[in-house]
Amino acid sequence: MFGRKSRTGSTEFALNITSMMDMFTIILVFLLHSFSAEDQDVKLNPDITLPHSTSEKTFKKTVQVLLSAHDLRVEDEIVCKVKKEQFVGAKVEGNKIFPLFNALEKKRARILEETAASGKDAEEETVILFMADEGLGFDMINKVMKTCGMAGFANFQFAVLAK
Amino acid sequence: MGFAKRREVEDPTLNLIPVMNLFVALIPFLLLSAVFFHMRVIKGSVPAATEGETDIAKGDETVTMTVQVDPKDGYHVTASSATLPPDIVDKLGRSIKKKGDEYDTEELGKFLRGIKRKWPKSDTVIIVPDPTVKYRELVDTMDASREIEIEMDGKTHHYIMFSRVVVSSLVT
Repeated sequence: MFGRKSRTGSTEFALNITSMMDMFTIILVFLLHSFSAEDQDVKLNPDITLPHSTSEKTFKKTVQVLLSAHDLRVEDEIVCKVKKEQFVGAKVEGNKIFPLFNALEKKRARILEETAASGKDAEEETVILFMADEGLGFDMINKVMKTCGMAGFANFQFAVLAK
Repeated sequence: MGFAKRREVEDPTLNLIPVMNLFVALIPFLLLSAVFFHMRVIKGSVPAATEGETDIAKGDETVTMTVQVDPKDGYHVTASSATLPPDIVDKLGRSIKKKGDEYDTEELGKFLRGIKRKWPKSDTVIIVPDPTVKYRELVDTMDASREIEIEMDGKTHHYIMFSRVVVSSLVT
């Protein structure tokens, strides 16, 4: 099956790669299907399970705010720890989370400088790409959103996974 | 007298090695570029004190819908408008009970579709969740308010309803 015996007695092997080709073809088709030319340059936090939605809108990369059951982050930087759906070790007054507010104010100042220099629309850039765990309560989410609003980021892109 | 010519039997096996080489090169490249999750977004906003326009509809015959999400009773839908008479606006309110433990997003979608059909230029919905409402439930409510799927001629159509979503909280 795998080889034939030559006259001298040595065996010549010819590998049957048809089945391997079949496997590769299936993998190739699957990968081509998953191939995306879109900008997906966003790391998903393993602590966050995004909710599913019917939305088909693609995202624009803007300032990321990530809220998980363990911490609150602006981009990759942890601004506040979270324990039992409460912000811990940070000054919170009403709906204002101070470390988040301070971090966003700095971001906004930088964005305004950049947009003034480049002539871009500042309103389009001062949008939050918001990623939150699907199991979190609105009480926490509301505080984060209100603080973003206070810092001048009233518009959001709520990150979801396509259904 | 001659000998019969020995027929040369050609080996019918295809040489698949070059194709294999191509596949081996393609697969790592595609693995790097493959996206196993498709992230999408819902655009929304929070109420902010600005000098711009209010979210209360004041264009030609439009309504702004407010959906209050209550974990006990379900949805309480109310309307507001700067152009329609108050007696009409008051009648647009409705409560939609929960279906067991789940919010009746289907019924909410149908109800809002009826409003959208009457006043097609309406595009704003204000969602007011209770503090205990989960983020997943908020997103489901946004989905039900933004668009509805309609089966027509064997095809699924997406009917856009209230595309401007404002997330607010109860003032206590």
